[in-house]
Amino acid sequence: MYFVKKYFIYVSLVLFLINCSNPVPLSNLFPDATDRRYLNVTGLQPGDRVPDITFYNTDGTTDTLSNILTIKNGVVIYFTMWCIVCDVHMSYIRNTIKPMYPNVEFYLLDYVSGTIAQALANQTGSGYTDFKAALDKNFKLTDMFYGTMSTTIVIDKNSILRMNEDFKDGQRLSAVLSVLP
Amino acid sequence: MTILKKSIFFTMIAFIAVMVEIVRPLSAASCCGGGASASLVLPKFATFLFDTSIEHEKYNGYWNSKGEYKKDPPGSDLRQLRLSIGSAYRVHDNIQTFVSIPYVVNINQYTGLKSTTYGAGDITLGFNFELFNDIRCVYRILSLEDIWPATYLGVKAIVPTGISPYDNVPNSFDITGLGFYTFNFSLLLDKTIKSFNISLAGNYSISAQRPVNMEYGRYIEPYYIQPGGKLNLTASTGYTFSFDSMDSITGTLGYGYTKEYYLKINGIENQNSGFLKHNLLVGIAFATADQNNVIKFNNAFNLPFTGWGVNKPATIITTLEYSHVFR
Repeated sequence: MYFVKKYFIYVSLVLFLINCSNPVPLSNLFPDATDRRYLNVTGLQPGDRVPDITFYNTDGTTDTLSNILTIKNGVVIYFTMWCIVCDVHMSYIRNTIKPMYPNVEFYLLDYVSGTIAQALANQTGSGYTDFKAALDKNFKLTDMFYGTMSTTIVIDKNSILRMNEDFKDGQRLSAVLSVLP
Repeated sequence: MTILKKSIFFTMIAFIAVMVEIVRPLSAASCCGGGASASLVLPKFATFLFDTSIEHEKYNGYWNSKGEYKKDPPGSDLRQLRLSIGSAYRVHDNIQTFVSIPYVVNINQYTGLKSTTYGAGDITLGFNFELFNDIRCVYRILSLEDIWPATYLGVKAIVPTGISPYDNVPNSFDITGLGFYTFNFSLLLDKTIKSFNISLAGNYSISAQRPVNMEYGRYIEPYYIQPGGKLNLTASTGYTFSFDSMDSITGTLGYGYTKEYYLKINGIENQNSGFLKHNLLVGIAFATADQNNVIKFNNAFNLPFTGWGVNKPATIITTLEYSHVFR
């Protein structure tokens, strides 16, 4: 049993080092249902007016929010990094939500690729050429909405932000779009 | 071969077989993955086992919701290293307990993103119940009893000590754990006849529902989430070659099937969730004559073709593992 004792000393040492270098997050051991959105870093919130945005499209063109809203009833922006989680969401948008709202523009916003060419390659490789996709140059929209992976934005015809939250299962997006003015 | 040598030989084969065929979930780690470690199985009659391993997981594209295989974006290089230490301890003639503690390092280059993150993974602990009283390997089949396999029933808990998507991480590539208390129930059937071995394993995981108020570093409207049950089936076969010194090498080929059912959000099934994956496994293990030291090298991989998975990254997992048994 000498080895057992020795082994537990090693285990204790390793655990100590782990905890010193990068503490175990307690948020998973003791998950919390408290709404703490008030602690989020700045970012436009529902009800705020969205300033005019320039979209740097992957086809090399540019669009502005104001121009789009002259012909569309609203804009959905989905923050994508083209990963498997994003693919599940984008696939759901394509198959279930987009066909129901032909008067809404759906944008996939690539906030990870450094260049238009890279964003286009990602869009093509992922099989989403039937969507409008744009590159978030200099992380302007990421900062504006405090966006991260799967953040979903809905802007109505009056440039009022209607939704700024994670995609989750798409139910909230459907609900918000169904009551757009 | 004397009776003693024969006895040692078969004991050794049984030991290696169990050690090599340990049920490994072969699940992806970051990007919807785990960082949880596998079960550890103590050989019959041994009292204590120490195990340490290095796992390298390389992401190699993914299958979308239609089951189409897609390559990762150009310039992507997603890897996860898992360093684990663990032990198994016999608490009764037919009952053993184990614990495994992983430490996870993510090294990712993904289009414009480059990151290296690290932290504790999800700790695994559990019990294995042996439904047999003696070593179940035979030299030849002489009676019905000779074909009865070594049977293990297992139960384990995965404790969410890692960093999950519900923590302050920017994306799914930087996580080191799943974020859920998960309970796994397993059945392992293992049979060795002469130098040949076959193992069949099945396990089912259930995760507890939990509240979430943060995703990828951003506080969100709280909701409750519960992953779907996960079924894992594995079949493998091996052959052991023994040297004159009684040291031995075992080669293993295996196949694994994993299916996760729909997750629930606020109690409602999300029919866009769940995944399916087929795995292949190639392994080799070296054991010393006294059976106290085993070094294993495994490679678990997926075939990157359409139809071999749904909603899941394809990965190549290479594992180097060392186990030492105390009698």
